[in-house]
This record gives sequence, structure tokens and C-alpha cells, in this order.
Amino acid sequence: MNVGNKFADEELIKAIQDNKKTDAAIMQLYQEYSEYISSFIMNYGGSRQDSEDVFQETVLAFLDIVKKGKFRGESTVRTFLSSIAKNIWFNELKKRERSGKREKSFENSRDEKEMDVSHYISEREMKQQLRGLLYKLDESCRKILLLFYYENLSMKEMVDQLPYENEQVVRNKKYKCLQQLTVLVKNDPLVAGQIKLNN
Amino acid sequence: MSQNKEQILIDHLDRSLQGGETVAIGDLIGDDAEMAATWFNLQLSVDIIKEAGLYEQVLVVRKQFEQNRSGMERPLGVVRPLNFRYAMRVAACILLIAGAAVLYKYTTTNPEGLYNKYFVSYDLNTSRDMGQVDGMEQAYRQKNWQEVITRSNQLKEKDNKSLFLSGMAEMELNKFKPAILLFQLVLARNKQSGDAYFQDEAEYYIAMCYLANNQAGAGIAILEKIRGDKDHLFYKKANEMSSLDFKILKYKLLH
Repeated sequence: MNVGNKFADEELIKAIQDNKKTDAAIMQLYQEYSEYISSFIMNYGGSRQDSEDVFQETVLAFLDIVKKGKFRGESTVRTFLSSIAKNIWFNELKKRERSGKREKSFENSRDEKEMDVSHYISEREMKQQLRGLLYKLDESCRKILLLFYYENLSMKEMVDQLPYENEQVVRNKKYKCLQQLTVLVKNDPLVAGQIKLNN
Repeated sequence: MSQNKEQILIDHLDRSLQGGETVAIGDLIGDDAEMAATWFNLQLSVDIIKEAGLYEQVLVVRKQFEQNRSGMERPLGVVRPLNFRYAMRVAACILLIAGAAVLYKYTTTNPEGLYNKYFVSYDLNTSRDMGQVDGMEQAYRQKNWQEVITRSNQLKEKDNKSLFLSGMAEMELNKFKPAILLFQLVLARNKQSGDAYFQDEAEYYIAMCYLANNQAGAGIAILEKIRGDKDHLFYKKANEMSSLDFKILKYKLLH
């Protein structure tokens, strides 16, 4: 039930899956959980900036998981977010080569009831790193690719938003932009390493 | 990989191929390693685009959330900018009011104003034992100022008392110059004789006359002498006058 524009857990999941309501869902995640998660991160040595960045990545991971239908509702949104945030922060601490003592104390702080989301997180970390590849393209390419593949606009709708004459011009431009990105992906050492591991 | 094959893969990715073509492409990806690798890279590229899209969407909402939060926090903890501004306004108002008050005080403080503020009629009954009541005194008590002056003028022998009362009568009639002359006469006589008959009265009221006659310097000098003399009959009265008034008048005299 949505009381006073606030989604209950089930509704929140549905809102995330509905592109028109995703913004409202993200806002609710921030309003309801950002302070709670940030406090936790700061209790474990994170700065205010760390806690805000970790929460942002937590939200991204949660949205990704939900949009792919991998959130099964076995725990509350709050518990699930906490698990994601702890994993992200734990991995970040590892990267920063913090002392084993801190990691151990973090490990001890884990609740037995918490979800094991570590496999999601490692997958997300790769995506997070590859995300930067899109920003190596020029602005017009980024926009075309985002409109088509993220916002799912048709070629006709894209013509209205872009400075191109017709759908065919947009289609050709989109093709070239995707090619450019694919070349960047192909040549990225992280992807090459991943392919080797899979083989 | 040929442009054509890559185009077909992209069309497949975009789901713009017809049913039969889709099946054929699926078989090609399974059989051709190069096509499989290109297909993997294309899918990964689209994943990256979606990830970036989601990232930007979250970033926009995060900024909006932070703006909303800072807007809500302003009246509580960080009242500083607003409160500071408010405090500055209050301080400016206080300064303005204080400045206006000082300016008002400065412009309205003048010898004549001081005289009007502090002048009190001389009370014949309480200030001094006058002895036997004569016609002049009677006229004075009745505040018949002109009669006091007439009777004083009719006296062949004028003592300090008649001179003083006559001076007070002139003063009550706002004739300060003749009043000053009469008080000066009292003071001169005392100086000559070494007496102090009506000395204190003449000193205080001549000072008041000076103020009224716009001779502030002379008036203030006498009043300050009285304010420093505890034995003076008008010590208390002189000290009831505002020091600020005195300072302002002195400042005005010097500038």
C-alpha cells in the first residue's frame, strides 16, 4: 500500500521495475535509508563522502538487481540494502589495504540473518569500472546510446530530441557509436582478462 | 569481422530482425567464435550503457535529494546564513535606531532645552527662613511677578533678598537679561562683603538664566561648580541634571 506517496517494500520493487516510477523509487530509497546506511559506514571508519558514495553504489546495485528480477523478497529492502552497503564498503576497505583488524571487526559485525550478496557485488564492481568507457565517447554518441538502450526510445522519438534530420541519420549515427564503444570494450584489459577467465 | 555481419548482430541485438533471421543469427553465433566474441562485446556494451544510464539517473535524484535536505536543514542547524542575515538586520536596525536616537539627542540638546527641562521655580517657603513676610514676599508667593518687580523698584534700600526675588520675578517673566543683572548684583555684593546671603540661590539661578539666554558656557561652568560642591544648597538639584546633556552642550561649545 502506498501511504502518503510512500511505497511499501513490494510497491517499491514494482516502482523500480516501472521506468516511469523509478525516479520516485530512488528518491524514497534516499529518504528512507541514506542516513541509516551512511551512519553505519561512518561507524566503520568511512568519511561522510565515503558514506554518500557507498550509498549511491548501494542504490545502483539494488536497482540493477531488482530490474533484473533477482530480488526475491526474502528480506526487507532495508536488510538487503544494508548487506549490499556492507559488502561494498568491505571491498573498498580491502582496496585501500586497511588493517586486517578492521576487516575482522567488520566481518564480526555481520548479522547472521543478512543476505549474501557478495556475488552480486563483484559483478557490479566490474560494471562500475567499465562504466567509464561510455564517457570516453563524445557527448552526442553518449546521448544517442543512452536514449536508445537505456530510455528505450524509438528512432522517431529520438529524432525529436536530437539535432538530426531523420530516423535514418540517427540510426546510422547510433550504429557508429555502438561500434566505437564495442571497440573500447574489446580492447579493455579488464574485459580481456574476464574472457580469459571464462575460457 | 565484416561490416555486414556486425550490422546483422546489431540488428539482432536491437530486435529488429524478423523471426527466421533471428534463429539463423542465433545459430551463427553458436558456430562462429569471432561472431560469438563480437556478440559478447556488443551485449557488454549495452550493459555498460544501461549501467551508465542508471548511474546518471541515480546521480540526478541524489542531487535533488541533497538540495531538498539542505533546504530543510537551513532553518534548524545551519540557521547561520539566515540567522546571521537576520541578526545583521536586527543589528543594523538597532544601530539605526541608536544612531537616530543619538542624532535626535544631539540636535535637541541645547541650553534653552536644558533650562526648560530643569528649571524649577524658587520656593520661598521651604528654601530659606525668610523672617517676617512683607508685601514683596506676599506678591512672590502669589506669583504676582510684576508686583514683585514694582515693589523691589520702590525699595530705597535693596538687600540681597529683594534683589534675588526681583531677579526671580524677571526670570519667571522670561526676562533673562535683567534677571542676570540682578543675580550678578547679589553675587557682587557678597563678594564685596564676604557674606553669602542668597549666594547659593543667586549662583544656581544665574546659571539657569545663562542657559536660557543662550550663554551655555557661563551657565555650565557655574553648574559644574555646584555639582562638585556637596555643601551647596542646590547641589542635589544640579546633580539631577543629565551628565550627557552637559557633555553634549560642552561638545557643541567646542565645535
